[in-house]
Amino acid sequence: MKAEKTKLTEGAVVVTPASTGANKTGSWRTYKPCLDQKKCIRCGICWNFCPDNCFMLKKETENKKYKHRFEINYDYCKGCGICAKECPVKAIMMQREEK
Amino acid sequence: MKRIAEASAVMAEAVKLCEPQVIPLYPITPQTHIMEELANHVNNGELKAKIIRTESEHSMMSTLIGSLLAGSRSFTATSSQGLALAHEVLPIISGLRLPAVIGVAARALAAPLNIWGDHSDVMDARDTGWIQLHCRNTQAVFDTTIQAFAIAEKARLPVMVIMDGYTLSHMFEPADILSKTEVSGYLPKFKIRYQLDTNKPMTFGPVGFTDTYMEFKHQLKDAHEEAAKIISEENKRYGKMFRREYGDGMVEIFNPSAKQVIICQGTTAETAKLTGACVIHVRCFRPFPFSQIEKACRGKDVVVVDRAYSYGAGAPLHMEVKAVVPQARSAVMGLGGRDIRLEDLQMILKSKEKELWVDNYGK
Amino acid sequence: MASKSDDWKPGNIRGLPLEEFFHSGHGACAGCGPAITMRMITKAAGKDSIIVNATGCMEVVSTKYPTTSWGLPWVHGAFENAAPIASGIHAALAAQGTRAKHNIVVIAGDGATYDIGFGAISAAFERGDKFTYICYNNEAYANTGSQQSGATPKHAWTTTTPIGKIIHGKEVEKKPLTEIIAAHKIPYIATASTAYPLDLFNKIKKSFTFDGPSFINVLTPCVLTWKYDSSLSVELARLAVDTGMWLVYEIENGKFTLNIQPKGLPVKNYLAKQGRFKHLTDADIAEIQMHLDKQNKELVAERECVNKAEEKI
Repeated sequence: MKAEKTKLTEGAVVVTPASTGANKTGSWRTYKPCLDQKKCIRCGICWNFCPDNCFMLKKETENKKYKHRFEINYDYCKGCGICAKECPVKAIMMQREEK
Repeated sequence: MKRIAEASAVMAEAVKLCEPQVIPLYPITPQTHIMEELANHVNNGELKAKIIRTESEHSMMSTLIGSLLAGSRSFTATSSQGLALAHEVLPIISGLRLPAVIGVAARALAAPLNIWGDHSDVMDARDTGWIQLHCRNTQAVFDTTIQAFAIAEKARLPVMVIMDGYTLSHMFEPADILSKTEVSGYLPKFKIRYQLDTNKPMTFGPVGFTDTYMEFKHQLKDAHEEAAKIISEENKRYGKMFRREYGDGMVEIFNPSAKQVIICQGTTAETAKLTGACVIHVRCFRPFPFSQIEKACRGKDVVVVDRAYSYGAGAPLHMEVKAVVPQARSAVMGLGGRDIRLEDLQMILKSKEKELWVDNYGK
Repeated sequence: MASKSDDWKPGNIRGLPLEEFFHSGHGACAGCGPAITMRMITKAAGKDSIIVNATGCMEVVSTKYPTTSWGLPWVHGAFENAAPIASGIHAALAAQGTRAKHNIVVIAGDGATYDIGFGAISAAFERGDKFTYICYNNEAYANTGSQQSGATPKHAWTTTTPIGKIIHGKEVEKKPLTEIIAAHKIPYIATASTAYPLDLFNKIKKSFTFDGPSFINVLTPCVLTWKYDSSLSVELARLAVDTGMWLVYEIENGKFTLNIQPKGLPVKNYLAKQGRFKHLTDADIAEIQMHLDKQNKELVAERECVNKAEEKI
């Protein structure tokens, strides 16, 4: 996509913060982390160590023991496997990406 | 108020009147007097600015990126090896469209080491996207420095205010110094288009891929075309207020009816006036005043005096002039502080040589 | 590290806030240690911060015009000048009387910090300009494809210290940069590791409380340079600390504290997991272990000696 000169900001200033969302890095993935909500203890270590901020905090509706749950944002997950490696209860498994 | 002062001190006085908030500094001959004067102004409480004493010209130039983006008018000065060391930062400042103003006491580049005046350093920086304004006397140093802030902030481009090392930087001449009220009546309050702001976070200095880089460089080209108009406007506005104008702001033409023309920059212009020839002082080297020069040189015998050389090609001012004045001859003079005397200029007017390196030492 | 808490609350997870300032969609490699560190740094820095980023991986992967991963005001100038740019911001805000409202944080790699920007950093620290300089240290010029820097450990493979027939890896020890910075006697100097986010978080927060410069050197693994499986970034950052390859300490107004006691694991555990050390012989590893033990002992002893001298005064 070629940029139009007139639409470029002066001095290449990026005026829209937090705007790399269009770059869906999930397409890089060859292994996919799968989170077992039953095993998950909601410690947040995966959220903490994800280089791509792929652990989304959601309201828990099924498990009465917890108020929140994590869901993985596959749009950006590059499949590095840090979450699975660091999970203290082995609730995350890496599976071969099928598609 | 008229005062007899060294041009370096006069530049510092002009800067003081423009009230920059940040002044990074690093010494180098022959610029150092500007810095020393500014340090005196700050330490005596005459100028409320933060001085940053850096460890190199590279860092000195880099602090300008921070201070300008944080919203403060800023100034520094350098020479020769200092400008060369800071070279990397120059296109970054113009690429970010920051209104930096720096003084340059123009000096030769090593090797061999030479501390005296010529234009090697500023010619080395000609393609960095900065506006380059040359001064031919002390009064011009004062007026151009003040105009430079107005031009930089309006054009959103950085400006070098250039004076010949020693022959101007260390020259004592009378100059009319404006009052604080007069200067603040001329110079608008500092503002930049985009600023580091925690309430409106923006990213400065990103990566321009192959899809945008060329467009940004075209922006810079357009900005220089616009700057030529701004330089002329500011020269006129300043002239109206303080009764001093520098030609049309881009070029100054003296004795226009004479048949022979000397084109030069800086103090050489003052000597050249004494020859009786027409003298075109190229006040602004970037952007370059092609049309004015072409018009003033039609059908005339023209010789261009350069105090720098582009090795393997020719003399830089002459190369620009030749693009619109094919008959223009070249005289390379005054490298490394070699004198440029009246008789030397008379000699080059008589000469028919296409390119002449004037060897006048001890003659 | 498992939390005993039966619920997850914002602000409770190892103390890190939920708000993100380094966003998804950046182009860092899968498992990038520095990218994890960027999230931690910006969370600690918070919304009142201005970031100055030296040229390097984190700058390049996050700011393809017209997009940016950053949610904070951010500026990049060149490779070697992040510290003087921060000085310029500091001076301008001080002149405008708004310095107290902002944190200024420099983020730079080890190439920018140990090597090309070193003189400029030293001068900024001499001046006492108030900003927090954070070196994300992956022990090489990773952005240009893994060349050796002043932070590369002895013996390590890089593309400019290849494993040849005669010479194997880097021939000299790394520059003791944290100690060199400590010699500037700035108010706050610390080391940290990506594997210990709360420690890093607290150190960054603490750095803002000093009226002068702070320096934090964070060890953070690089998948491509260190040559390991992308899942091991945090594991290696932890092993570096547990084996004593990276001491986590702070020097606060001259007072030294070893924040994390190394577990005394053999250094082989750390080295064997990385391709950049795979050429090492048992003799090499024994030499590294011996040197490490001596060096760590000396550093702690010297610093504790200074602590005692300070107490006496």
